[in-house]
Amino acid sequence: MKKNTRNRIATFVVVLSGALFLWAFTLPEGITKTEKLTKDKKPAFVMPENVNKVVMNSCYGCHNSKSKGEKSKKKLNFDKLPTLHHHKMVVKLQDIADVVHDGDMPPKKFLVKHPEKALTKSDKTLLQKWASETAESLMPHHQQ
Amino acid sequence: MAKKRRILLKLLFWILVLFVVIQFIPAKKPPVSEQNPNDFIRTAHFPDSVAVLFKNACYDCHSNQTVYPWYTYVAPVSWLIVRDVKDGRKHVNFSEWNSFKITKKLKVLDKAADEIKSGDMPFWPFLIMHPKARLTKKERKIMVEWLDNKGEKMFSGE
Ligand code: HEC
Ligand code: HEC
Repeated sequence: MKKNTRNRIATFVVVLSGALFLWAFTLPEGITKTEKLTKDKKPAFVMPENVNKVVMNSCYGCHNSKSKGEKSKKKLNFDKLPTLHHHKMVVKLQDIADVVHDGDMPPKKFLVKHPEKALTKSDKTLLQKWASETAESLMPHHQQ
Repeated sequence: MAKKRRILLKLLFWILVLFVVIQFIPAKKPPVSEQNPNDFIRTAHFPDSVAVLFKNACYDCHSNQTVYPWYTYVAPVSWLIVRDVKDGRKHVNFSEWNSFKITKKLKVLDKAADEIKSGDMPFWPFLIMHPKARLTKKERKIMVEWLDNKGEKMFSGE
């Protein structure tokens, strides 16, 4: 390799690493998507990493602001969830717990083509427990 | 001409036979119970004028107090009814209302209001045979307001 080319590659690598390094600082450390979207300093709820992973794998694709499915987006939008009034938040969280309990989501038709998106038994328990407990924690009498 | 008529008669005959045969396929109707201590209307402090709307428009599919008129004993209508009542009760059974925890109650109130607002409920085939369940705009408004109000009170712990 010519010295010239080698220098160019080296510069490129250095600049790229620098950029990545700086970019890392703009991301709040260890913060999940849900928290980032909340405007208040203290989020209404926290989605632990393991729950977030399940949601991202099995649900988020259809239930986000950019989803093509109007119906799925209208019924539940994970991007908007943290910005809802607490009353509505409770309703949505309870709905999540219920559809997971009944095995209604992800839709069966969808799972035929994408079996890897199915919830495992432990995913179900985790998501249902989180949704149901978070809903309860948002009730005003519970917070004090 | 005569030949055509004979074919038609034959067809009618076989349809009749089929109709009789399908009557022997059992359609197990979800059972009816009049004793529901946790019933929605009974425990959620409804004014009578609102209660009657829910009873007429929703209770045949969403409670244990399903009324089965004569035609629901005739296949294939009976099959459809069995499916709707089973499905309806599974989604929301107003007879079990007071056994739901509070977050579930809030969800049911919210969804019922949504369904009534959008006109998705009552389920349309039902309306053909149930003129009383055809809700006017004003009746829908009354139901939705009552549900929303109940939800707000419940949420704030009143
Ligand atoms: C393939 C796309 C898809 C995926 C993946 C998916 N959903 Fe849905 N979801 C839908 C659609 C479409 C609807 C609307 C269905 C309807 O109303 O008939 C819906 C509705 C819902 C509703 C509202 C139910 C109701 O009837 O009110 C909830 C809650 C929900 N989904 C939760 C989830 C959860 C939790 C997951 C992940 C475990 C998930 N969904 C995964 C497409 C999807
Ligand atoms: C003919 C039967 C029938 C009648 C009458 C009926 N429903 Fe339903 N309902 C169903 C069925 C079946 C479902 C199952 C979900 C579906 O297929 O959409 C359902 C679902 C629902 C749901 C749950 C929707 C969801 O997304 O989980 C609600 C809430 C509801 N009905 C409310 C009502 C209300 C309120 C009334 C009266 C104004 C009513 N229904 C009248 C059959 C009925």
